[in-house]
Amino acid sequence: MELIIEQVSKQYRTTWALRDLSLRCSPGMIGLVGPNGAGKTTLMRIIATLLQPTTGAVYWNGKDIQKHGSSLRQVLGYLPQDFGVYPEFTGRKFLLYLAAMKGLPSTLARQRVEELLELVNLKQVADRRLTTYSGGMKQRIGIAQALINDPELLIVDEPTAGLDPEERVRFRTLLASLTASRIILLSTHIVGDVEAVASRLVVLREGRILTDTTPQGLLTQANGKVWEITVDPATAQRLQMASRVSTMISKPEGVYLRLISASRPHEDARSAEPNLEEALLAINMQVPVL
Amino acid sequence: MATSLTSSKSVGASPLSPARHPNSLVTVIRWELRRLAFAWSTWLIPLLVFALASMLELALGTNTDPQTVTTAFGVRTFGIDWLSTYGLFHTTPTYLGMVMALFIPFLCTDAVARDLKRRTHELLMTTAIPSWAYVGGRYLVSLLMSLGLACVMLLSIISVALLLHQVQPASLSVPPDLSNITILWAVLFLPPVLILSSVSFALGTLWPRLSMFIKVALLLLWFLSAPIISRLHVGNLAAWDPTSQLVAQAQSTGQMLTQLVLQTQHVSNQVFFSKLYTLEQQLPDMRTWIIPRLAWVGFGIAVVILATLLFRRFRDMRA
Repeated sequence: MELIIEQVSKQYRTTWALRDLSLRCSPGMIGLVGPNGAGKTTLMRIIATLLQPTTGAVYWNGKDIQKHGSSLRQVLGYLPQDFGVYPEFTGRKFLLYLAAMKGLPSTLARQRVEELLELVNLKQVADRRLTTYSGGMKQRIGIAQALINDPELLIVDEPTAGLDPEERVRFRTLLASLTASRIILLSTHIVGDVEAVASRLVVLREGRILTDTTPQGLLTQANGKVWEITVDPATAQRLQMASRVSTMISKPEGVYLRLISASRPHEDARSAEPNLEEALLAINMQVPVL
Repeated sequence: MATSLTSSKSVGASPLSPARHPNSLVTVIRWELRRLAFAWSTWLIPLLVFALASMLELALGTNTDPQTVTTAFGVRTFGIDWLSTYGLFHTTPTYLGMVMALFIPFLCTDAVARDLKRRTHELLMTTAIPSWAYVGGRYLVSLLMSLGLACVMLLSIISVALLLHQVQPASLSVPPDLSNITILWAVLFLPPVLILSSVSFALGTLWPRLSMFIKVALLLLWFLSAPIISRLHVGNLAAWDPTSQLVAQAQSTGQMLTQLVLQTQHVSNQVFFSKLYTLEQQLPDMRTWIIPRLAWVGFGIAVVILATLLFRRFRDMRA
């Protein structure tokens, strides 16, 4: 089971969303992170056979998906960032519908739908029309449909958007339990999602790979670039102008700041252990891209 | 999210073997019909069409439209039965055609385009369903809906004709000839339904983002095609009018009256009315119109096949 992305570029009119992007993926979870417009969704839509690359190719088990898209779609689970539902259907019917479109025999489809409804905690409302669902419930239906054919390649774009913290943690655990036998591509803005479950992190910026590493590797790259300091409000304001601030807390003894900077931003600043969010900010401050 | 996926019986243990779609077309049709069955509009539209068509037929059936014929016995005044074979031949493509043109583009243009509007397109296009089955299935269901509406209109014609014949036999002395009504409906009304459904579906599938423009354009074109073709004055183009309106106009009231005068110059009133009823229930010779109608139906199917071949699963747009 292997997914190879080979020098893929995508141009929308005059804008390049992806530039010569290459990636080789084997079973496990790959977290795609990067700011808005970095090209994460474009990359995922190309892999999901929803977009054609301007140049380059994507290979699934050695086959070009432009020519053999159906072989990939048979084993694909995809949760788009933004998706609609059929208002005529209930949650259960909608899942049965997509199971049928994915080619599942009806007996197996019914069994899976029941399991997934329980898994995403929607069994109680499964016979309610989808129009009555909240954003979080709709997102859980989206997660269930992506898993319905037990995919070998699971692509999830901002899957935890709209989920409450408890559901988010459950979803992460669920994803972690699936990583052994499939490739999971997870795009998110929420660093906690990838920090908890991704074995590999691909940071994108302006359509290119900024770094392809592990969460630990990213933290190592950020060592010596995160600083903490408690100062008076005036100094805090001055430091905020000069450096990138990741944390700012007003305390009785002054303003506590955590700063991202290649050099010591203030003589009293102490080097601090970076967290993944700060490591991402630090890497994004570097100008050259891979 | 209550349990772990891997603990479930059928999910998560190992990925499934590739899905196969032995009956993909049937699957699409079955689920689209199921979806439509849950939509209130699926039940409301036929009722609305039945009501509109029946109102039109009632208006026609109760319109005596007095005609006069001068014979050797003097001037004879009579009303044309617009629910007779002759009357329906004249009115079905124009009046009921108008009702059809108001509904069918709105039913068929969105059969595939709806998925883009509702943002269900990406979910469907990443499934294993083959494109031909998806497009073909949606077409067949939209065609079935259109034919259903055409049947509703046939039902309204028959119902109103039977009803009026019962309640006012004086003005509608000709009993409705159900076989003639069905033949007229099949030759003059069904082909336009098939053409309009197919063209609406094909254009909406190829250019889903222009679906509203397509609906309005088709509606206008439908109403304007008969006047445009009739102004061309090139050979017998009337037979090629896809709406059948020019076909319906080909045999005018004047022609029937001339025939009536010729046949009833020297007959009594009783014979006159008997001749009138016979003329009203006569099916016109429709042989010359069948081939053009079949050609148009063939064209409709061809554009649907073209739309299926040109259908793109991917849409080049930014997320």
